[in-house]
Amino acid sequence: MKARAAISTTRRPSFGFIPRLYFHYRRVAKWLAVFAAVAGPGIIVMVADNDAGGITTYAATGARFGYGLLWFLVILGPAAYYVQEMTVRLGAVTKRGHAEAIFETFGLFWGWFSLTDLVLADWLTLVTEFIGMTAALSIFQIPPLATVIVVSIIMAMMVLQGRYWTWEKIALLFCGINLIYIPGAFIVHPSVSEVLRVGLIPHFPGGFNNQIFFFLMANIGTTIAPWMIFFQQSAVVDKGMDEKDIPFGKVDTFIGSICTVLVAAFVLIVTATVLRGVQIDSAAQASQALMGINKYLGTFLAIGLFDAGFLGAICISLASSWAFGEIFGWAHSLNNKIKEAPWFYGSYFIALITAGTVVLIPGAPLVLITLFVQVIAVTLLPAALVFLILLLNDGELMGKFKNNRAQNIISVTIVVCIVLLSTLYAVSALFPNLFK
Amino acid sequence: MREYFKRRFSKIREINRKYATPRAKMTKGVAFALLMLRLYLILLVGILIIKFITMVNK
Repeated sequence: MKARAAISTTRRPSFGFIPRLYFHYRRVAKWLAVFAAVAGPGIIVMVADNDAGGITTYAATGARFGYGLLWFLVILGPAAYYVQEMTVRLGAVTKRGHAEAIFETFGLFWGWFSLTDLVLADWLTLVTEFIGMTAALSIFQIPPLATVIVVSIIMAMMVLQGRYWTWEKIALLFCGINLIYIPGAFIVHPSVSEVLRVGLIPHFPGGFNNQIFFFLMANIGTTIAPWMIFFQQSAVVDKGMDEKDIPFGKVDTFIGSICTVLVAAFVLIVTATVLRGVQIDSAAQASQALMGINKYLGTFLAIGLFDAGFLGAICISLASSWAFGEIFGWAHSLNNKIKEAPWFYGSYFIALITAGTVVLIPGAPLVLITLFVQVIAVTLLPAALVFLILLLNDGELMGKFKNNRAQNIISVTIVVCIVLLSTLYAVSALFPNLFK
Repeated sequence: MREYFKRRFSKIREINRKYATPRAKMTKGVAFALLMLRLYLILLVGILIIKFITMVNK
């Protein structure tokens, strides 16, 4: 009682407004400093997700359906966040890449299956990045061979400098350039009321048919791709992130998902406003068409397309090399010099050079390859997602960081929707008259 | 050449030995469901490839 009386009469010290403000400022500044150190993998993977194939898909979607599928892109943002956030937890807790986690937890059969899937899908997607980069620079009369050679040299220099941190900061710079689409959208003066009215109400322009299924799948495939799961988890490990860094990793991924939706939406708005009804099959074609309307707009789109392809290429090639290194036991960190990790860098360059060579094949149907690769990637995605969900539900592995019920419901819903959509597309491809 | 491939395959054998025993025990039902899902997705990819080839040949 006496103690309680003593406590109740003791006055707490009160700080003035300025000291309290300074205290909060120091807390926020410290949080931002830690965030700046930890941020990177989430933003890079999400922005790189808007790769050359992605920009092509958004441009073609806008030209074909106007603002009609904008709502779908907005929904894909949170979906991508929920998937990628799981890789942050998995990488920070297990300190292992995704490929190694699958081998160790599920054994050889599923391990080799997943690794083969990843390598094939990654290589095909890498081809589309080179398609985008060569198409973008050909608008400025730069021949494809020169683009492939220069890009390969830049990519080599980025990884050979021997530090993950430096590679990450350069990649973040390119992520910043990717936001060039945003001013581009303001140049075309879209009607905001029309964008909101037509774009944000869920509906399927033109009804259910083969074409809409294809575009829905291509848009999913470019927003959530198997390589992203492997890349972000390996990047989290290579960066040395810990369990205590998970909250920062989540914010990093969230910011990245906002950027990805913004860029996707603005590309769609540009082509929907200015090129509606025009047969546009590629972002490069859209750039050229836009050059005729507004030189700056076309230039922004071309620069953005090159940047998108470059970002995608540097991430995808690393995703495969990291996965190989994890399984084959090679040194596989960007912090290793080339002499310390010859196979890691070797696999990186082999993927790069072979993918770049495809683009130089005369007469190759590059635009069709770009769109189909997105669709193939999304078809293979459920397999990668199922393993991710199973790993995140392993209490022995994840401890207190395992998935809760809401996360499981969202993830399983994403898997089911993708499988359904893939099935609908396959059925519509086999029986085109069924959905007319 | 023989020695080269022997070295490469010995690495793969080493990996197979390392991961021979999975940590998680999957029930037969789950393993079967996963396998069916994988085969189903490969079938869908096959249909896509056929569609792609048809479009290229048009």
